[in-house]
Amino acid sequence: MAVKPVKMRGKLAEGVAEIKALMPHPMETGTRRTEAGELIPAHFIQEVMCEHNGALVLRAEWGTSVSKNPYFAFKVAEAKAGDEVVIRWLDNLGETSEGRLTLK
Amino acid sequence: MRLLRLYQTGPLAARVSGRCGMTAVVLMLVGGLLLSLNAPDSQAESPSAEAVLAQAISVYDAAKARGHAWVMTRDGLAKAQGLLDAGDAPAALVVAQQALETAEASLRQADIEAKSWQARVPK
Amino acid sequence: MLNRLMIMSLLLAAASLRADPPSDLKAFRAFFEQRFANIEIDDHRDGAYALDAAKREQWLSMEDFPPYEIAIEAGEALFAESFADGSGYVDCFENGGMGVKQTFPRFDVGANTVQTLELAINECRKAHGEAPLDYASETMGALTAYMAYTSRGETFAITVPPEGLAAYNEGKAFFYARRGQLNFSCAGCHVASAGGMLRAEILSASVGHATHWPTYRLKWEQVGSLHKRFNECNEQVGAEGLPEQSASYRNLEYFLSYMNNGMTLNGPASRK
Repeated sequence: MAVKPVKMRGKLAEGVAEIKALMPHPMETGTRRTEAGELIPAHFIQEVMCEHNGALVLRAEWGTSVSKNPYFAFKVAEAKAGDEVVIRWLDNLGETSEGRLTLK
Repeated sequence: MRLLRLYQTGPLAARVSGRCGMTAVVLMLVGGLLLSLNAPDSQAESPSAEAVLAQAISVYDAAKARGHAWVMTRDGLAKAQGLLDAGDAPAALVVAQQALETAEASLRQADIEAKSWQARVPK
Repeated sequence: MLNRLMIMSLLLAAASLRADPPSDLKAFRAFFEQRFANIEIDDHRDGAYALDAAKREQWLSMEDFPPYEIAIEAGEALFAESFADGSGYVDCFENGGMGVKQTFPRFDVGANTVQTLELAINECRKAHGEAPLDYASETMGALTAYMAYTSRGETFAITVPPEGLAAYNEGKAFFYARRGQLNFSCAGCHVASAGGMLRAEILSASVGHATHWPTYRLKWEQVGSLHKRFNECNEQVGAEGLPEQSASYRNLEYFLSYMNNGMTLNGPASRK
C-alpha cells in the first residue's frame, strides 16, 4: 500500500495555531485475521513528531489502540502567519510520511 | 409385544373371530406385530431429528422466499445440523424443534405483515 | 343531480384512497412536518444530528476534517482510470458522471429492475470488459463517495414511471412491514418513533435517510453503502440480511429515495 502524505489544516487566532491533521494509515493491530484465518501483520504508527519552524514542539508515541486513518489535532503557541508546521510519522515497519503547512 | 396381547385377549379379537373367522385374527396379529416392530422402543410415534430438521429447513426456505427469514432460525438450523453430524440426535432434535418453531413464527409474520403493513402508512 | 353528487363523492373518496408516489410523498412529508414542527424538512438530511444539539456540535467539529476525505480523493483517482479498452466511467454516465447521483436510483425499463448508482457502476465495468467490483469493497465506496461529492447541493429528483410502480410498491411494503424476531419495521422506528430514544441513540427521521450516502461510519472505519446499513438494521431486529444490491434492497432504496425527493444531497457523510 502506497504511503500517503499527512493532510493538514490550520487556523490561526491570537497567536495560537490550531492544527488538525488526518493521517491515512491502515493502523493494523496485528490481532485481526483474514477471512481465511490468517493473522494480518501489525502495521501502525509508532511515533509522531511535529515541528514549528524547524523546532520540535510535540512528540507522541502511539500504539495499536489508535484507529485507522488517525485524526490528530493540537495547538501551537506563539504562532504567526508565515510559520511552517510539519507533522512527520514513523511506523513499526519503518515507513514514514509527513505533511507541511504554512500558516496564514 | 404388549400390542399383540391386546389383540389376542381383547373383546375385539373375540368379536372379529366370531364374524370373520381365524383369517381376520391372524391378519390383526400380523398387523400388530408389524406395528410393534416399526415403533421405536416404547414410544408410539416419535419424529426423528433428521425429519424435524428437514421440515424446519423447508419452512425456513418458505419464510426466506417471502423476505422474512430470521437470524435465530438460521443459527438454530446450523446448530442442529452440527449436533447431528456430531452424532447427538436427541440434542439435535430439541434444537431442530426450536428452529422449526421460530421458522413457523417467521412465516406467520410474513402472512400477518402482508395484510397489516398498509395501516402504518401516514395519510 | 343526486346521481352526479354521488359520483363526485365516490370519485373524491377514491382519490383519497388512491396510493401513488406523489400522494405518498406528500403524506410522508406532512407527517414529519407535524412531528418536528421547528425543523425544516431539508434539515433532516443530517439525521440524528438535526435532533440533538450536543451530538451536532461534536459531529460538526469532525466535519471540519472529515474522515471520508481520503475516500473522495481515492475515488477521484479511481474514476479517472481508464478501462483496458481505453474507455472510462465518463463514457457510461451523462455529464461524464459529475453531479448525477441525485437521479439514482432509476427504474431501468429495459432490464425491468431498479438501477442504483452502484449497479450502474458495475454495469459500466461489465460493458467495457472489466470485472465487477464487490459492492462492499472500499473501491466501490471510494467511487460512490467521489460521485456523491460532485452531487453535493443537488436536489433529489427520483422518478417512478408506470413500469417502476411495482418495484416502488415492493420497497414501500418492505419499509412498513415488521420483520425479524423483534418484529420491528423500518417505519416503526424511523416514522412512528422518530425523535425517540433507542437505548442511548436518538432515532432519526426517515425523511433524509437517502441523502447522505455513501457514509463513513466510525464503527466501520471505512465508507459503506446504504445497503450495508440496511443489513445492520435487519440483523439488529433479528431479521436475516441480504447481499448488497439484492432486488429487495434496491426496491427499498428506490422507495426511500423517492420519499426524499426535493431534499438536498449531502453525501458522502460521516456518522457514528
